[in-house]
Amino acid sequence: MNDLDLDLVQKLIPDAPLPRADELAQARDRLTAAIRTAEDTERIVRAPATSSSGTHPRRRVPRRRRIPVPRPDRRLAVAAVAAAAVAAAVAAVLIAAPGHGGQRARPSAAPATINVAAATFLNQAATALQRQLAAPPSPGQFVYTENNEGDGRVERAWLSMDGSQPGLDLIWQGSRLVYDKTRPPCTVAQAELSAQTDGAEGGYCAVGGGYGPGYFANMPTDVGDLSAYLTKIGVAPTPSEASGMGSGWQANSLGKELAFLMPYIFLLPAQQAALFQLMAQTPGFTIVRGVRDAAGRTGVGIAWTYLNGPTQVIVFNPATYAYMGVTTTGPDASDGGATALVRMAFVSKAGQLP
Amino acid sequence: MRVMQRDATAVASDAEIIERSWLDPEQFAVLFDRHAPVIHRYAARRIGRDAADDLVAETFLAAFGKRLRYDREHPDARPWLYGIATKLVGQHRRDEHRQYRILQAAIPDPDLPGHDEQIAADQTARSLRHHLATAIADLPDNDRDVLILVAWEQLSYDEAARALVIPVGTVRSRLSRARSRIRAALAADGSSDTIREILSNE
Repeated sequence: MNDLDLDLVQKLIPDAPLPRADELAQARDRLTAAIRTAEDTERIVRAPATSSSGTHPRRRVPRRRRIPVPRPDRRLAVAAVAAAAVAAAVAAVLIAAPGHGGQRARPSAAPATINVAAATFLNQAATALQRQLAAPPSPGQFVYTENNEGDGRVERAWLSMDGSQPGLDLIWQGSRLVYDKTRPPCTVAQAELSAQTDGAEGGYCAVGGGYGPGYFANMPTDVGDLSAYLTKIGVAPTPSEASGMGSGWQANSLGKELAFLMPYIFLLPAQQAALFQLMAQTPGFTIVRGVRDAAGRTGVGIAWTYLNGPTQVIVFNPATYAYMGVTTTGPDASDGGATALVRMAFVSKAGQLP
Repeated sequence: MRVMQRDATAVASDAEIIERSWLDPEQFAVLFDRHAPVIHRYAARRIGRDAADDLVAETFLAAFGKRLRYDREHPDARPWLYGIATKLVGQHRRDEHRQYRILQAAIPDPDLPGHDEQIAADQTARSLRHHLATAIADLPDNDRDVLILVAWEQLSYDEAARALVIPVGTVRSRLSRARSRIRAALAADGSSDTIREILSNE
């Protein structure tokens, strides 16, 4: 086997220069803050060190006292006991209700919690949505979406309602078409097979981001079944993939997957209600009122910040609870990008405008 | 004393630095200074420069949180860091697709002034890049991870296996599958001969 194709991959994609030290300063600052927090935490809980070199950490890390967590203050779980959980405040999964004790930490390393205001909004929205009805696309139809990417680009995507027909993704910069891509067919069954076999079977089939079906007819409307379904179709990490992702990974993972999925698909109100309930049960989400999406519209944002990074926000219509867009707030807002869904409709073929 | 400590840090392996950080967390910053640039470049290639800043921070924060579980049998921590970064790329799929779109969208502007030959050469290179970016974007995520770690980051099969926590045989099979798909996609686009010619002239 020759290496021509590897040469191509190496040489034809533009090389990226190594970053300057100042470009890494922000990331280094975040790490330094976590280190300081860990030092403070360890100072509290670490017993005197006794060993010095050369063996696996499981055998040589000093014994530590268990962090006292008053039983009434426990809400969901105390995980990652002993050394690893205590030493690394950023990775510890100590989940307690806010303001009720547990291990005090600096805000930068605080364990993710269920935010009452966000959960209340999401649960109220779910209740309202469960009373709504909407007709899904008919067989053979396409879900058309138009997303304003906030940088002058407009993306128009057509996804076959069940993924059985090729989709189409076009991006305009002003009047100029800068991206034109036909998507291969990808049904829910193919996506499940692809996710289960790491892509070895079922061909290339990934959902979200303008790929896959435009409507998931079998997406559960019961929140209890939803997490497993999202993992099954490959849009949520498996528990082993999620291990060690650090405090707040649940909101980060779910938020990013939804931000990747919702701009392009039609959801039944009951399906969206289940997604809202899942978000309400997920530690790490907060609520931001009066946030603007990439199209300049004001909505209610469900936000999360992962490991001191920028705050990302999914924006919903405060009256109808419809998805509006994704945006980023805070000092690093320019890094996050934004997109706003400005139109969704059902059409009979790819490329047809409603 | 301070000079001696700096010298000791300069020659210490990554595994030794990580081990020191178990009791002295500040030592972990040395690992950042050593490897953050290449992890950032890797991230920038996959998800774009802006999102790379975020991913690098997440990678080292996650690594710091997992440092007590680091296996000291491996002096070089780069595969471990690549593995964490690759796992986190999965959380930035929107950015990754955006990055491939940018590469795919590199269509020459016919209004730009220039010599005809140069414009034609630029068009050819951009067209090839478009086809290749499309082929890479259309790979299954796991196959793409292996291809990029081996082709761009020059990890050995063993290192890629360690990064992704999979057997070496799985690395080989995923890489083989990715290469087959790249070849098939380029052949279908009629680009192979032109690309071969360009590479032979370099």
